[in-house]
Amino acid sequence: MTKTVVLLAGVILFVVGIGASYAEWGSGGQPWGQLLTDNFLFARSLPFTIGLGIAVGFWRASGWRWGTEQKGQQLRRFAPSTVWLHALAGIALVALIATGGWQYLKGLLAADSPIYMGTVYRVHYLAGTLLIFVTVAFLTDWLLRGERSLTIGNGQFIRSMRGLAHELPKPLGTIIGYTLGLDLRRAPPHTEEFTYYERTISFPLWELSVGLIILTGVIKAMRYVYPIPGDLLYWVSAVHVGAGVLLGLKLLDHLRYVLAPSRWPLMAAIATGWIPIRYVERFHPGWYAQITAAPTTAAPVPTVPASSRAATSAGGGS
Amino acid sequence: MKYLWALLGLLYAVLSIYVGYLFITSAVGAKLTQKGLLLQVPPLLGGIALILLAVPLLWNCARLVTARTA
Repeated sequence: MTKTVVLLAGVILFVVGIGASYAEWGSGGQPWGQLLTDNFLFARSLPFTIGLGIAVGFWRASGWRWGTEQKGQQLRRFAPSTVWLHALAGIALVALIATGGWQYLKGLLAADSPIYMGTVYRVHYLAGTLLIFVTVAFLTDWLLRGERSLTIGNGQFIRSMRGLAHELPKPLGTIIGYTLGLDLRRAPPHTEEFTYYERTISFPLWELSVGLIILTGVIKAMRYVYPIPGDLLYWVSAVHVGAGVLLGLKLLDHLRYVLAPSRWPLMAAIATGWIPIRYVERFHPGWYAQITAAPTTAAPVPTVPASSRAATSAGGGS
Repeated sequence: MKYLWALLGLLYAVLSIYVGYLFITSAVGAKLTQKGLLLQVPPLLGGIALILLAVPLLWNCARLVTARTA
């Protein structure tokens, strides 16, 4: 009941907040052109977008079904809402990279744009709103549930680095092992729900690039609402462009990782939410051991033979 | 479905290589040369990084359509 009330309040406040800005624009009392209107609407809608994200995150965390769900020979890897939010984040990210890259290249090449730039900025603001909403919803949900499966975890740094060194191609793994003084003759730690590459390299880089792009983007968008010193704005803009390029690079690496043939079931899992048990048993033995120890919501998963727990992970190498 | 994703990945990789090429040519072009090294280095490094990271994606897209998936 509470979660529905909070979600409804978030939606109503968002609609009222956007509506008030639209009403001011529609009254004709403001001398705003399209670019300035879009900028104002984006900047003034931010508190309501963040509020809606918090409400959705709270709704997700409150209704979370703890435990493992099984359907035939498939295990649930992602909740349906995770699948939707990830898809929305993906759409927002591609639109942001395309429109942001368009703006940067227009300045860099000093070329005329065949597309009206007001439209490019409008899509950029809409995609920015979507990315901020999804990011806040995920963050709120993870913080409330104490979700840590995509992070290294307290006291797990050396273990995670050992796992990463084993997952990477041998020359890279050896460099990490030598630099950190790791004993790579020991058996690699079992891969849990996410690979060591995802937990130590991929996800932290997403956090860095998405965090920087949102922070600098919000400051840039606020410049007509609150005065921001020109020098600060210059550096904020420079970091925003740099973070945009980093996002483009991160997307290349992410696609490279999930489009590897050995990891195709992981790619399918983020679209359907389900992953074959046999894949989990083979490539995520640590997670398999956890879920076979916990009760499932359907038929119990067969006990893991001791030998299969030593299986290698799908790795981060290729 | 994997063929569609391989195609999308391929498109993104090729586009990234093209954008990387534009970054590099702009960085060494007349306009930015006049403005100094500080403004030349970011697009140069960004362009090189875009091209370098696009290559493994091209390779994995090709492997996705030719190799057996797990």
